[in-house]
Amino acid sequence: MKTSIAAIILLAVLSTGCSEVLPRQRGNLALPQMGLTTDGLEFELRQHAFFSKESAAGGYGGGGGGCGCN
Amino acid sequence: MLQVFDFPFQAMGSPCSVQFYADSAARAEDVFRSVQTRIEALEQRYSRYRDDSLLSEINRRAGTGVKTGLDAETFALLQYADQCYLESQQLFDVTSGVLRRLWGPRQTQLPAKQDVAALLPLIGWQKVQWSEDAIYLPQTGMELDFGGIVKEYAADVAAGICHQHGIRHGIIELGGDISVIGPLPDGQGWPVAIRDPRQPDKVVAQFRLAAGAVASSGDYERFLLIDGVRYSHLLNPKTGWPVAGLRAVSIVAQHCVVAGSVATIAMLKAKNGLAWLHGSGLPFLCCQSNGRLIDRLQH
Amino acid sequence: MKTKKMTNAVKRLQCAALLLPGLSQTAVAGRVEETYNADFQYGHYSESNQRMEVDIFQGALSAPIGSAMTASVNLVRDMVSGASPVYNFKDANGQVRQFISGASPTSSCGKSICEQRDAISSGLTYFFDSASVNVGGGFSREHDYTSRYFNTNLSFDFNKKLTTVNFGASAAFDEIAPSPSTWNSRDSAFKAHKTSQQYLLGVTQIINKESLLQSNITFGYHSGFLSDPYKWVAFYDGNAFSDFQQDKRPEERFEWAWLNQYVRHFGQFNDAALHLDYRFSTNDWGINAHTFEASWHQPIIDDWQIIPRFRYYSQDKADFYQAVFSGQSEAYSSYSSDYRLAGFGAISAGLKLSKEVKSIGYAESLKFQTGVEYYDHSSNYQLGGNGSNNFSNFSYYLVTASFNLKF
Repeated sequence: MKTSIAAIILLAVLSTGCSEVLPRQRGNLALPQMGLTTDGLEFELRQHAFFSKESAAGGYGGGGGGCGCN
Repeated sequence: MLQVFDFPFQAMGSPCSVQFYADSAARAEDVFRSVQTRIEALEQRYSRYRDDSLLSEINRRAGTGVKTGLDAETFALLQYADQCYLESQQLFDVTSGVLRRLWGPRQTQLPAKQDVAALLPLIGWQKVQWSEDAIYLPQTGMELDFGGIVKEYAADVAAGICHQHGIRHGIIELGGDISVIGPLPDGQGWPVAIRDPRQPDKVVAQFRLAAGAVASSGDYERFLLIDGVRYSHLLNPKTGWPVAGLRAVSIVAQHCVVAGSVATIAMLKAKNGLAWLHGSGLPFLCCQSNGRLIDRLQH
Repeated sequence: MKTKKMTNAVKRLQCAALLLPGLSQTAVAGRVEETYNADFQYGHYSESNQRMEVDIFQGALSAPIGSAMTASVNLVRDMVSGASPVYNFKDANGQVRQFISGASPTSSCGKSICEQRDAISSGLTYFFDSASVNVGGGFSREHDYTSRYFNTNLSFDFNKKLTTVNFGASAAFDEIAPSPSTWNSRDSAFKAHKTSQQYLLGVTQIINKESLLQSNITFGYHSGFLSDPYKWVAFYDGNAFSDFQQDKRPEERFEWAWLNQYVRHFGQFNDAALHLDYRFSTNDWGINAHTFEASWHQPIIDDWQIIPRFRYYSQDKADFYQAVFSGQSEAYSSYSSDYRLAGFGAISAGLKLSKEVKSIGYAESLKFQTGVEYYDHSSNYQLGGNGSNNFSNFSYYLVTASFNLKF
């Protein structure tokens, strides 16, 4: 139900409106502030803080270990 | 048992040679023939001196409304030229060749300012209409010239062919542009010498290159001597006049095509060229207009 | 010939050159990071009401190996001190309140919780022309908790490298050996295990020359001892205590999450970038959660950047959560009063500043960053919530400072 509608929306986004990006135009995409994770250590620390205080998990991958976080 | 083979030949209007180690003369001849054929093919496609070249066909169709189809290699070369245009603040412009009509090798006088100004509207890479499939020069008289790219590209391609044929120790030189196939069998680099731009029999730098490429640009190759003043063959596409600032630049890079464009861009930047060379991080040798030599080859 | 520092201009020319046919044969594979990277970060976490304070030290190093591999190693040390909620109870007016573990004069830091956690992890990535493989693992240790974990990731590029598909799998094997204390009645020989697995399927798509989207679906499964060994649950008959038990959660949990991250470049704002993230997650304990994050990366002058950021989080309560229970514990198969399983929302806002110095000494770049984030947890922020858990509201602020060296 929720997950299947979501999957259809996802497919729609990917197949329409994706225009041709010639490698020479990737300049802007290569800027550091355009990276999905711009600061690796800060990302890990924030996610660890959220994980210790909230129940949601997943999405980001990485697969780190557990902890006895209180 | 590896032996060294040396094949001198003429291509792209310059004396060339390919030297490498192979296990038999037959093999060496085979490899040399592949290299020569490929370089000849590149010249046939991209030389502005040949009426049957793809480049001449593109130039003939300027302003006629007829586009010219492109293959993958030509498109990649245009993309490379585009990148050079961007990185040089529009100084490296493959449409600036039209200025040769006024600054050709046999001129004895400076051209009139109006004549130069009249050619400027025909220059401008941003005006060229191109895509992966086709290219079109919108105004009659516009011309493409791959002069700063093809010879260096050919050196890289030739090195690649030798490598594909199993050659692991060799060096290619196309009129001063060098591409190393692999180091000498003992691991040492090939000896490379760079000559003084004004005194060709005087060597200003000598080093060994085990991998990579060397390319040079300067006012020593083709220049004009008018009223005792030397004018470079490199022309500024924005002003229409030859650049003046550096006498010669030699660059060491992983690929000859990159070494060549970095050298040409440095020359085109004239007085700002040296700062750009320092900022590039590549080893270089630069001869300034006052004759001073700046050696950053052992970088 | 060393080409340790090359400006971006030369790098872009190199990239354009590699597109030329005849050059790619002897060229280096796809995405290898040619530089060495060293990172160090210090963080300070501080909860409201002096509940918990943590000092975090992190270091990371990555290096290219040969022409197609990158290796990395990561170290963390957390130093925790403070108190945390143990159970909920009804006060004289019948209102639910939290009981927070008090000070402990005999502990090493004077507080009820004094903990140090050390973790090390490492990874190796091998790059092909249009694909990459990564394997890694790590180890985390606290005096009462040990975790060993492994992960692997495969990445494939399609469509002229405009689309990347990622597959990931990871597993963790944890050992819990809670120390006997006022709040843990188990004996010192008690040892429990927890096993976790997570699988990821994701796509990164370049939409156009200004934007890209990443979408990941993850599936997780945990089994073993999933309860909190230091928390308790109070049972009431009206306003009178009827039972008091240690936190007891199911021995299995399945969870799913779907994350979407969108990044867009704004050339008209000096190359600023907008990051928008939305994640929906759900598990079979009945907890559905939404996470929304937005940040704006604004370059100012001279390689300075300012980054404001905002986050909204909301979750439902777990099926077996109640602030306090009624009746006897035998009537329930699982029970917990842990505030982290309750229904609540959290809003956080932060600001970060970064400065990069290029071509310094032998290094290609040195980047300094510092940031502060304020996080507010409240039962009132829950989407569709009824604010019934406001007794467990708290907030924290997190300050970080780091440097990154590329050479």
